[in-house]
Amino acid sequence: MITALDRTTQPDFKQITSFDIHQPTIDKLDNGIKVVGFNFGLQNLVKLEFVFPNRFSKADDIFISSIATKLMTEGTSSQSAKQIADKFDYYGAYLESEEASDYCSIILFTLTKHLPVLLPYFKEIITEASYPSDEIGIYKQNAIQRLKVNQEKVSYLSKATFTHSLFGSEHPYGFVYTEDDLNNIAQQTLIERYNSQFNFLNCTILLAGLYNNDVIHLLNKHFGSNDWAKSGKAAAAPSPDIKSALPSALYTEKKGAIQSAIRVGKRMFNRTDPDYFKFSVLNTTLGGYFGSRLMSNIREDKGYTYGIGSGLASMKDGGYFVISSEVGANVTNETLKEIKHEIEVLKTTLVPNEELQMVKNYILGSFLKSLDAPGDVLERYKSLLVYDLDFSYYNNYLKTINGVSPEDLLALANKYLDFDQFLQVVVGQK
Amino acid sequence: MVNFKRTILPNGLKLIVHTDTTSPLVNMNILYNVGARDEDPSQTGFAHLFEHLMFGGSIHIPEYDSPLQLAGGDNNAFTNNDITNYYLTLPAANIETGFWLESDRMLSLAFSEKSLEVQRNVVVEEFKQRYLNQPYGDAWLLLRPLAYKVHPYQWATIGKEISHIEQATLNDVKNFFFNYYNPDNAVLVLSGNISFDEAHRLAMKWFAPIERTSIVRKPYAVEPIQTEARSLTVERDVPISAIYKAFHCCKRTDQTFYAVDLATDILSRGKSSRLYNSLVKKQKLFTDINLYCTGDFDNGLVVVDGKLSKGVKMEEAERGLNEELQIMSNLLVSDEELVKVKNKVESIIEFSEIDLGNRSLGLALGEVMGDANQVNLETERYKAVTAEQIRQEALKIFDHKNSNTLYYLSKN
Repeated sequence: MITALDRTTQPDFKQITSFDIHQPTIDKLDNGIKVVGFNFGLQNLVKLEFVFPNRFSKADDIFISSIATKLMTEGTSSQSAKQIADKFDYYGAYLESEEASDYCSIILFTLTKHLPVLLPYFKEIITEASYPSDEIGIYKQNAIQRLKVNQEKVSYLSKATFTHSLFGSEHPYGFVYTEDDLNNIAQQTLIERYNSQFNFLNCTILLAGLYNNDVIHLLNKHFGSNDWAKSGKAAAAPSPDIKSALPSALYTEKKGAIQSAIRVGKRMFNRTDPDYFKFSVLNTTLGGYFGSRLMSNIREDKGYTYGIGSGLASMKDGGYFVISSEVGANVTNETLKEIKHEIEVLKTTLVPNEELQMVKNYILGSFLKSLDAPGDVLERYKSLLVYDLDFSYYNNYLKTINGVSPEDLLALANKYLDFDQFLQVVVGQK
Repeated sequence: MVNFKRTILPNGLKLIVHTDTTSPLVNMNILYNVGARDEDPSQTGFAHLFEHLMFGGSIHIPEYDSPLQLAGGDNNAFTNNDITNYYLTLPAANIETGFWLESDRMLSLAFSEKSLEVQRNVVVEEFKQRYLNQPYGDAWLLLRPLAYKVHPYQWATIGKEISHIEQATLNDVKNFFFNYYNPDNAVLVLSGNISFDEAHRLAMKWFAPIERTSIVRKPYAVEPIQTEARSLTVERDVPISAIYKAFHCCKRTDQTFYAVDLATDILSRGKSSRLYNSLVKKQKLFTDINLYCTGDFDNGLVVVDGKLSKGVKMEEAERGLNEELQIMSNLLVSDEELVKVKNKVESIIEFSEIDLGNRSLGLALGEVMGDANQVNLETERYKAVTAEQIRQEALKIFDHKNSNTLYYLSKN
């Protein structure tokens, strides 16, 4: 019997009612360094990441830590930058660094079979970097040129103005470096930062991929001793004050720009706040996915932009909420009006149940996807590290997301989103 | 190693299934064998505009994204000069929603005037955001017509000019759809937690009823062999001058491709590469320089782009670059360099296969180029390349007569 195919009705689908987060193994090296391992996957490779949290006492702290990290691979007591690059490239490995607001890390990606031969070189980078002055010189030159190119981009300029205004000139989150800052980098500053931050007292090791237990022993052999404390751990100091600009509309004209970059938002809590998960549902509804209110209105209905989105950035000393887009210069003001309108709607009208269900399912589907490969799980774990959290943080995630009601979203919108109190940054033409 | 099973549905749709039960997800990838090279020279940017319209509702389903998001999925698409590729990921239990959505838009679109009007605007804004409102953003728009005089690679995927997009009509859109969006012109790949039998059952249910139609495809104009060097100089409001060079090279499917690709790796992959060490680090002529091979279905390009260091003259920078290219053409690479780039390729392939989506795309591209199993043969093909083959390819490619140079000068 042949029944006609019904193409108008969506096939049955299931709600996500549970998920397995791959729990890490925890080992300790002899000197106390924690090794967090995610040993699974199909490919015989590993990602090995050494995370060194940033500490703040003055405005340029993130900037200095970032450069100390980037230049760590540019020479050691016995190897030149070229020799280091040759060695890692020869084994098909990647040596990378990541410079985030709250930590810096050095990462080795390699086929597992090459890990034993590469670890001694990796150790040398982490414990004996030398910061050769000619390498610093080349870096400065090139970084200044990259900065000049960035300063021609409306997206870069709007982001710099936005974070600077939100966090002020004293806190590292608000620091925007200039050509002078790059010129003034001194070798001694980098060496001091290397000694105080990149040592075993301030380190967590993350390991993901397929490997056997010998790898933990090898890590202990190379990194388990107490001889790489250098100057010891920097004393904990209170972070500098955050001095936000008053809510205001900041406009920077960029001659000849045919699009304007828009950034509007405010300072917010970080992921440790009880409202964080719930607010993520509100954020996704407004601008966190392709079907969001902002995309539907400003891209899919009006065609003002290639993309618009909102996000909640979480950092240790506090986060921010931001809506950003690049729009045709002639529709800059109209876009701001529509953003304000979408926020007003969230504050006055309940989100329909069907839309809310879609948002929740989308969030949970994305969460599932972000926990697929070993490297993904490592990233997820790393995002919790500076808050001293682990995967128990997500114990109530599913329940919390599924429990959010339209009334909750209305209340959250009224509690947190007041467009007229937002910082509004426009760079371009209007 | 990516294991897979393959079959062809009665309507010509190629079905490939890669089962990986360790994942809770299924990735669905549909590649249509149509790209910017299939466009009429007076209607460029069409394949890409069309990709946008594929999200504007299909014949039975008013909205594409909502039901997918409701089932916990997400999706995207890209267009290049050769293909248009759509992909989505869903929790494994919900994959039938993907079959339902993708088969309906293969069957027919809603063809709404409103959707066309909005997406024309969105693509115009994309054109501005990526190509016009960025420093150096128009370099590719200038380089392509310099390098290609007759082949359709002379325009970028976004199109030659904004007006082509602005003038697209609904009738043009329909013709394009019914010609190219056809089961016989597509490859469907499923990767993840799904068996071949289940994927085949669902494909038979949702895709098999779509009728095959015949495709009219004009042959691509063959680019004549370039016989003299070409150059173009432009002045722009950018902080630093840049140089771009494009040299004609082989197709992705040619056996020589592997030697060409390794030659470009030796010159420019990673911090141990020749151009970086010689031109950025040692001679300090450039602050940044990249060289790569496009790997297109038809004869492609080896492209160099470099930003000059402050105070360095264009002639000096170009001379330094040409010297390195001449060394590649004249001298054999060392055994160590050759082993290095081969090891790198092995690990790049291994790393790229972590991602389900990359596994799908690799199979789909292999299939459309002739054999899905190519993904599993690549490492060996790279390993077989000799230093002499690399030198021969470099000699052919880095011939001055084969060069197209764009001098992109800073006004300041």
